[in-house]
Parts: sequence; structure tokens; C-alpha cells
Amino acid sequence: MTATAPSADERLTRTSPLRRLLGRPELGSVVGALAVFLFFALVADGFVRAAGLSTVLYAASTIGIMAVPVALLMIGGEFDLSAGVMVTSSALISSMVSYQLTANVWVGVGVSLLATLALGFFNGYVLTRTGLPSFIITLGTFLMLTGLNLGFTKLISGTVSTKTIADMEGFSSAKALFASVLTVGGVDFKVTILWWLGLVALASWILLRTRAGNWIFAVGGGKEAARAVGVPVDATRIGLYTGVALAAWIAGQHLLFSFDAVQSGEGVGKELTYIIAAVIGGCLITGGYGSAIGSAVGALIFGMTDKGIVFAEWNPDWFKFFLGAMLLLATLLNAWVRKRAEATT
Amino acid sequence: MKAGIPVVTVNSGSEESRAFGALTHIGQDETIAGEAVGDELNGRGRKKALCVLHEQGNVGHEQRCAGVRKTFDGTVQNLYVEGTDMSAVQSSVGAKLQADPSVDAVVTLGAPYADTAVKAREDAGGEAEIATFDLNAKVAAGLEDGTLGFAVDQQPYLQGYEAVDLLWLYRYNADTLGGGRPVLTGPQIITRDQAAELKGYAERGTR
Repeated sequence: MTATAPSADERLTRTSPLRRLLGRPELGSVVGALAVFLFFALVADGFVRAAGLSTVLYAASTIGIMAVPVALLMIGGEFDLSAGVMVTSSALISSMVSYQLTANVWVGVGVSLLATLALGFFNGYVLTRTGLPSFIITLGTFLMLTGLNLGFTKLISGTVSTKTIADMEGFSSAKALFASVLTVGGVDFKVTILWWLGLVALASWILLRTRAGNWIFAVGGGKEAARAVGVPVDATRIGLYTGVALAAWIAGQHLLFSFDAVQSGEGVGKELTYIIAAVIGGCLITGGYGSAIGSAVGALIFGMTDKGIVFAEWNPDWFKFFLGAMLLLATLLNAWVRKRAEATT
Repeated sequence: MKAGIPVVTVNSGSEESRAFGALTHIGQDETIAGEAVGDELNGRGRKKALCVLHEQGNVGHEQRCAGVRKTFDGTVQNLYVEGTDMSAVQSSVGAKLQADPSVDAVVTLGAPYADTAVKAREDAGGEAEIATFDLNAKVAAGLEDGTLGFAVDQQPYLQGYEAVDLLWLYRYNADTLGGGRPVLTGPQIITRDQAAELKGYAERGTR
């Protein structure tokens, strides 16, 4: 008998919590977010006041609600260019169904949920059936929805926006759920912030604690390999698109119950903002890597920068330049921090 | 034109209309409309106005804000917002009002944005008066209940109506209007006093 103890399997060695933290995809973006926050706290007066932070959080939450499922989809290796106008479609369906049927607005909200999920399913189903790049398929859906939004709105309402549904039955209860304001310690916060945090928690749990989460990473890392080991690739991808649709429904209902009438041309260009938030938050454009919390940090960076420039009262003519430069700097900082983190682990 | 078909041009393009050889141009002048807003703000004792542009690079929008700047005795600041995202418009206008509480007038360049500016004012607090270009039923309701100060209407329905009417008059009676200059359908300043009446017309889609 020998006395030497068997050396522990290297897969079972415990890594220190610090090392684990440094290895997280969202770490770089958290540092970037802190830097952006400190910067605007110094240069913009109103930014760090409670009301200012509430405004910034509202802006971040409306991006963040959509950035969560878009990030999951990108981890799964796909894009959704229809995500922006799908929010508008969802709001329009809800509004017009309620108005035309003179029904309780919850009827419209329900119909809108089913119809929006069907749109997401359509994206996923066509993708898995045709094998075409998701870029092309969702570009098609994006353009079709943009046309349908205008076409149906004009056909039904006669103008480019829906009629107000503020005086209809069920409006106040639906508004309470999707577009209310909560007062915490004398400061007003929009309920979208709670929806956002809820979605981040749900998505993080799915990604890190469930089998479906493993499938998402596997599909994004390499779909053929994933298929070979028995991952339901098609179901996972359809599920991811349906997830985007679910969030589009939530964001769409917020839009409707916040403004009670919907402009049919809204949402164009927002899909890029959601993708930007996911990428700033550490998602790889090529798939297989990223996190839901990262998408939230990305949305926060975008929201802070977008509103911070207004708070700082910089020359409005140069707004987009400042926005682009700040985002680039924040992302460079992310990449640098991540590289340093990888070098030490 | 060469085939002898009479042409009346509508809405924007008053400069090009004459060179093109149109009988008349029925339309609006964005600078003149902006100037009317500046005058009205002066009359209401405002000192610092915010001009909210919802489309970057739109020449008409720049002209409207430049018109306001020309006649307004106070200062005018521009704010570019993302017009395709109402909640972003709301948070940007809200941020601006928080950043500069001395802003006492907000001018939006399209009817739907007026209501969003009202929501931004609710978020930010303060007493800034909100005025808007264009009219719809909701703007009329806002004027009526006092959440909006005034609106500037250019009567786009009348532009289309008059164009056809003028073509008919030309055929029937060889009439022309404007004496070679554009015929303007605006600006018309609308306040609480006319709101109730116009609300009905806006709802049926003729205002």
C-alpha cells in the first residue's frame, strides 16, 4: 500500500470567488457601467438626483425588457431584426381589437399575447424549416410588420395612429400592471423597471440553472455538434424567438397603456438598440457566450449615456456623436477589463 | 405640364413650384409657422423655450425651430429625440426639464409628441407650457383641459381640398389664386377657445 493520496481531479478544484467573478461575461460591462455613471455624476448636475436616476432607469428598462430575450437569442447564435416593430405590432393589435370589438381592454391584451407569440413562433419556425440565415428571415418579418402596422392602422382607424382607449373598460387595471408609477421614498419609479428586473432574473435562472439554458449555449456554440449530442436544436431556437415575442408583448402593452394611443410608425430602428445593449453587455455576435445580467448592464449603459448627454446639456447637434463615442469608450473598457481578467485566470 | 395638364402643387416645395410651372402652390411655410410660435410665446411671457425635433436631418423641422428662434425674445434650445420611440422621447424631454428647470416652454413639432411632452413634464415637475405644431383630436382635448398651451395648425386637409377646388375653378372659370406666390393655409394659432369646436372636426378627420 502506498501512502500517496490521489491528486484531485482538476475539474473538481474549487476556484476562488474572485476568479469566478472575473470569469463572468458581464464583468467588463459592469466596470464600463460604473465608469459611465461616475462620469455623468461628475459632469451633469441633475443626473445623480433621485428624479434623474428614475428617468435614467426608465429609459434603461424600456430597452432592457427587450434586450434580455434578444441576448438569449444571440447566445443561441441568432438575430431578430423584427424585435423593434414587433413591440409596436403588439400594441396596435391590443388597441385595435379592444376598440373595434368595444370589449374590455383585457380581451385585446389577451388576443395581442397570442398574436405576438405567433409572430415569434413564425420567425423561429421559418428559420428552422428553411435553414436561411436569421438575418434574412427576420429582415423580411421586420419589413412585413412595418407595412402591416401602417396598413392595418390606416385601414381600421383611417389615420396613422390608433384611437385612444383611455375611456374603455379595464384600462385602469391594465395600466396599473403595465404602465403604473410606484412611489418609493418620495421618488417615482416606473413599473417597467420591475418587469425588467423580473425578466433578467427569469432569464438568468433559465440560462444557468435549467436544461434549456444548457441547450441555448450548446446551440449557439455549434448547432451541428449540439444536434449530435441530442439537444433539440429546432425547439430551442423556436423557443428563443417566442421569448422575444413575449417580451415584445410586455413592451408593447407598456407602450399602449402609457400613451393610450399608438403611432403605427414606431419601433423602427429599436431592434438595433436591443442588439447593441446585448453586445455591450458581453454577448458575442457569433453566439455561444453572454448573459442576461450583461444585457441589463448594457441597457443601463445605453440608457445612462442617452439621457446623461441630455442632463449634461452638451450641444444637441452633436448628440449622436457623443452617444457613439461614449458607447465605444465603454465597450473598449469592457474588452480591456475582460482581457485582463482572462489573463489572470 | 407639357401636355397642357394644369398642375397645382401641395404642402411643401413652395420654392420649386413656380420654377416647375405650376398654376399655384397651396401649402405652408415652416419658417413663418415657427415665427408665429415665437410671437405667441412672447405674448405668453415665456423666457426659455425648448424645441423638440423628432427627426434628425428633417429640413422642415429645422426651419420651424429657426422660425421660433427668430421672433422669440427669450432663448430657444433644440433637443433631438428618437421619434420612433415614445418612451425615449418622454425620458429625454423629462431629463432636459430636470437638467434645466428654467425652461418654461416646450415646443413639439408633431401632434403625438405633445402628449408625450405632457407626460415628461409630469415626471420632471415644473410649470413649462407645452405648445405643438399640428392638430389632432388628442391635442384638441389637451387644449381644452389646459394641459397644452396652444397649437399651430397648417390645415393639411384644406391644402388637399383647395388644390382640387382650384383645379375645378381653373377649368370652370380660368381662375388662379395667389398671384404667382404660394397660398398659405397656415399658421393658425389654436387655443382653448377654439378647441372644443375643432375637436369634433379633428375626430372626423377634416382638421
